Amino acid sequence: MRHRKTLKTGVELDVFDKGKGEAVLYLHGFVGFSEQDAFVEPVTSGHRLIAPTHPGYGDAPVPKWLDSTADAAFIYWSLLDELEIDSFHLVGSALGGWIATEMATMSPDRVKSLTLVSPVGVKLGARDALDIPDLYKLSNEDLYQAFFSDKTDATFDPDSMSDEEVVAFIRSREAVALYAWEPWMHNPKLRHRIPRIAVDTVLARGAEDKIVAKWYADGFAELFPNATRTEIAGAGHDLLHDAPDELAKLVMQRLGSR
Amino acid sequence: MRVWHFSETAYPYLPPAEDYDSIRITLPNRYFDPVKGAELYNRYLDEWLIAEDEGLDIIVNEHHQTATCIDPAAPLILSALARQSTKARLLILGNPLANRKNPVRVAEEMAMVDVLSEGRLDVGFVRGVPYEVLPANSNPARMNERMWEAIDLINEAFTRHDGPFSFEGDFFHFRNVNIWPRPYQQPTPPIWVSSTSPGGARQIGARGYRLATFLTGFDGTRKVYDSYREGWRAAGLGDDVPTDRLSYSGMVYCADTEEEAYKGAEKLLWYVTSNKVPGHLANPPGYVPTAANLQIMRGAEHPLKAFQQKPSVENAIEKGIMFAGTPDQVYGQFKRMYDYVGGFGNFLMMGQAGFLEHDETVAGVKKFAREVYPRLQADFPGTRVSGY
Repeated sequence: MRHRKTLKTGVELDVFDKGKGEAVLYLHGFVGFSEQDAFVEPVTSGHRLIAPTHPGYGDAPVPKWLDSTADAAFIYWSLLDELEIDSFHLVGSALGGWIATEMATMSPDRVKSLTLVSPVGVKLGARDALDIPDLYKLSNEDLYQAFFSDKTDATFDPDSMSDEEVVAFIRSREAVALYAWEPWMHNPKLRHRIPRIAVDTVLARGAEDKIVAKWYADGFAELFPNATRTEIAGAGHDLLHDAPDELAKLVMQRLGSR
Repeated sequence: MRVWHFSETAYPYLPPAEDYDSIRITLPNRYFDPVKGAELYNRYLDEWLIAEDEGLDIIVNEHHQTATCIDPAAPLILSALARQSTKARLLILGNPLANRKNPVRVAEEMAMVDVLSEGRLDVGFVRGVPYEVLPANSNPARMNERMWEAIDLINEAFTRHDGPFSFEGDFFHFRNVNIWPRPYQQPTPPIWVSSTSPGGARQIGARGYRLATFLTGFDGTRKVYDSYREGWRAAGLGDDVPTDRLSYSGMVYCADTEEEAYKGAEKLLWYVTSNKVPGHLANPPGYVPTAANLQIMRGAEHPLKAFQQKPSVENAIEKGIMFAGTPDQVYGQFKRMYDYVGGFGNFLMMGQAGFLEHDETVAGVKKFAREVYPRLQADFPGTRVSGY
């Protein structure tokens, strides 16, 4: 289950760790990880789900030297090394998809399958337009709604949230700024490293995603030697919170491959 | 007491506020008429020089992508003033260091103005207000850390004179720092840092730099100064904190009658009332600590916010953010503030704002300079020790 782990490097990480069997590393999106039963139950029946909280989210201290998704990727490799997990299925959503892609470029042979859900991290479009909309130009209400499809009631109402939940929201905004402020939502080097990732890759996107556009997901997938695209009807940007059962289905299809 | 004339160099000729979402960051520059802009620049420069003639010193600032301040490069306006003025001290408050990618360039600019003005520079460093991070594309995470590292680097650049040195910090990396010119004043021009929070003031006090705080009113200012004095003493700089380390800034309009003064003062309120900015642009992630953001989400408001809903000259005077009236009244208001906060040796006078026209500005400045300032200089010398 969730616990604070101190790595040999001194980095403190909050890690959700549940189940036995083949390992699945799940890297959460802009919204932090939370134990959605519809996702956790199916995946942990017969598999081991490891879901760290990205540094900057939660209340673990943020390493002073950390300011990029590649830094997070190295931290997660250290985590896997210490857990003695050699190979695993890698799943990442949005910001977590960016970190997952960074990880896969570093040590592609240890990744059994790669599943990216509405990932960010590369620059594909024109120089004079943002590929990913500027989330910091949205009010909290609009930002919150952008994570969900219209079918979901996603009213941002701090009054109905606990202090802990409000702080988590504030910290998530701070953490995304730390990772993605400049260049906005991408690492210019990453697209040139992606060809190293030969493993079967699925790049999925909720068809109602208001943050990652379809053209962006299509173009992102084309950078990989072996990627297929899938659109999930009716789902919004953050599958873990908007359509956790769909996320579980997507991941279960990948397990046992290779 | 030194008093410094300040204009934020506003461009006030805007459509009604209902027609735009934000006066900062997103307001299209089609609303800026370059011909009117040229008149304004020259007018504001003239007013600084008139203030100098009246015995006041000069302060300039900068903001970006906003109609509230059309000086996006304070060193440029300062260099014009360095050439045109002859005796006033020139305070830049300040260089937004968390948003400047090259602190060595800042050191060069400041040394140059100091030399050009023959040692009249007071150099101010600021983190940069929250509205500045988007225009600068500056990461709001770790701004304080960047600012302090940049100040350290600039200080070294000012004071090391034996050829190149290297600097490899957490944020800034230079293999060859060797500025030409070096500052006129030795070892450095007086260094100022601004803060409106007790936490920031403590750090400034611990380093012995001059502190500037703006529109913090009676209680806010008192807390900020208390923290500065605590920081100063805890760092072992001595028991006595000279008042010339502390400054306050508020709006001032002085005239022969209260009625006339309030007419001018009314126009100065533009300063606080014309600041329409949506919350998410005014409070970027990480700019204030998480705990403070929780308080904001729970309904806590900036002290000025309530005032902005119901602005009036009387209310502003009551809050200690404005000093307006006859010379006697203005002197009395100053004394009340001075005594309440434990004294300050500098006052940054917002004597021009928004639609306060040239003649009105000059009349207010002259009345203050001639009939209030001499009394402040006599009664509150900068050599006094601050405290209660």
